[in-house]
Amino acid sequence: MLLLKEPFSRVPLPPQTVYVPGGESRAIDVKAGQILRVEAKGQGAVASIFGFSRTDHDVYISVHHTRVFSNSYVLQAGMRIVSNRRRALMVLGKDSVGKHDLLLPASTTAYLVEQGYVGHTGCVESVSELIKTLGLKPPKIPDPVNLFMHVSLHQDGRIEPLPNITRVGDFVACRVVADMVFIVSACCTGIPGNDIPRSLELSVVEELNES
Amino acid sequence: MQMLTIAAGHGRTFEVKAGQQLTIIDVKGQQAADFVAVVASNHSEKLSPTHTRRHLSSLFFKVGDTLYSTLGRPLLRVIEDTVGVHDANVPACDDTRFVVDFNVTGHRNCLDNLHAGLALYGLSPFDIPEPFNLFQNGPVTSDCRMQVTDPISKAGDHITFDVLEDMVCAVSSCPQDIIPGNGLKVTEIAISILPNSADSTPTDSNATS
Repeated sequence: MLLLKEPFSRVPLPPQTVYVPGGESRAIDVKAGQILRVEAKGQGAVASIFGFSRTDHDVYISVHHTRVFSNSYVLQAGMRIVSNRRRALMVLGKDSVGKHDLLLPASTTAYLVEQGYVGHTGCVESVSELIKTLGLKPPKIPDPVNLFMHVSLHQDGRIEPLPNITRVGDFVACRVVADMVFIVSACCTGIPGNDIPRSLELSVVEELNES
Repeated sequence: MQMLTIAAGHGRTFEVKAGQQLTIIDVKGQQAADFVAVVASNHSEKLSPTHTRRHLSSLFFKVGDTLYSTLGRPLLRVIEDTVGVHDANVPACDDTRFVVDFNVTGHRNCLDNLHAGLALYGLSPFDIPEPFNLFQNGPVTSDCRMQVTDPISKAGDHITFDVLEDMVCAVSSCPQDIIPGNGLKVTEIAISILPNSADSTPTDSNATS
């Protein structure tokens, strides 16, 4: 809950936890003021995250506007993750890894096949299927924020994929400031060093010490 | 040869065909040109800076590089570039850029400029792809921040692409006149489209001036 001057307009909600199997995607609803936590359950996990408003289908997390909002090519603690309308949706408040990507696209099944990853569902296809079941009608599937993806950006612009350093139990926690449904994909990214799907745990709490 | 002029802070939409050469010219210098394209036969397949980054393993591109679509297909090849500094990172400025970030209502913006013409092809504002911001300068600092600074382009600088697919394109002369980006003076952009090189005699690089 946020510390507001007036009493909060909703009652505290019980904690929720959602398990995301490696290679799949899951959704979690978060109310303004809650904390979203994304935790790696396997070594080398990557969490490609998308976020949508349930009340305004035209509002979603925009990784591109997020970069420009902070004039930063990389995601760092304290940065606001913003919508396509340049409004803050959440803030990266805790981060045990410090390696994330704001530059690379979600995989598609066709891309993975082309790159030699056999038998994987692309992130785009997985997220698109889930969006249908949630009743969301976004105007497009936006590009993701790739949490825990380890790629190095050099000053000459070179984007160098590096071996993922995420360990079991590593996490990010974000104070969410707008009602949103988040979709987190643990699908194969097709990015070398970050291409082994591992499971994730999503949790939503009012305060961090609840769970 | 087809020549188009884009007035300072305005936009234009035009079609190109595979085999043509497309040149975008910074007429007066220090002017960013937001450039987007969709495939003519399938408007949902778009020129994509994000997918191009993955292909090139780079934020930037150089002569000889290919720019790719959202489906990973090659759409344009860079054959000449008198500047070598372009941005493929910043989303098109829109009403929220000016209202939220700069406290200005009613400002001209690239998204409206790009959408005005592309709307005639049935595209909504959400269908407008992320742009390549030609001549825009967004250096990576030592701590991976994005430096906000003016272009290094001078009058007459240009970039030329081989067109690999039939496409609908739009270009906006970026109306940003508040922060570094266009030298605080918005100026015009010119476009030239050369027919299939197999059908014409070779031209020198000054043919566009």
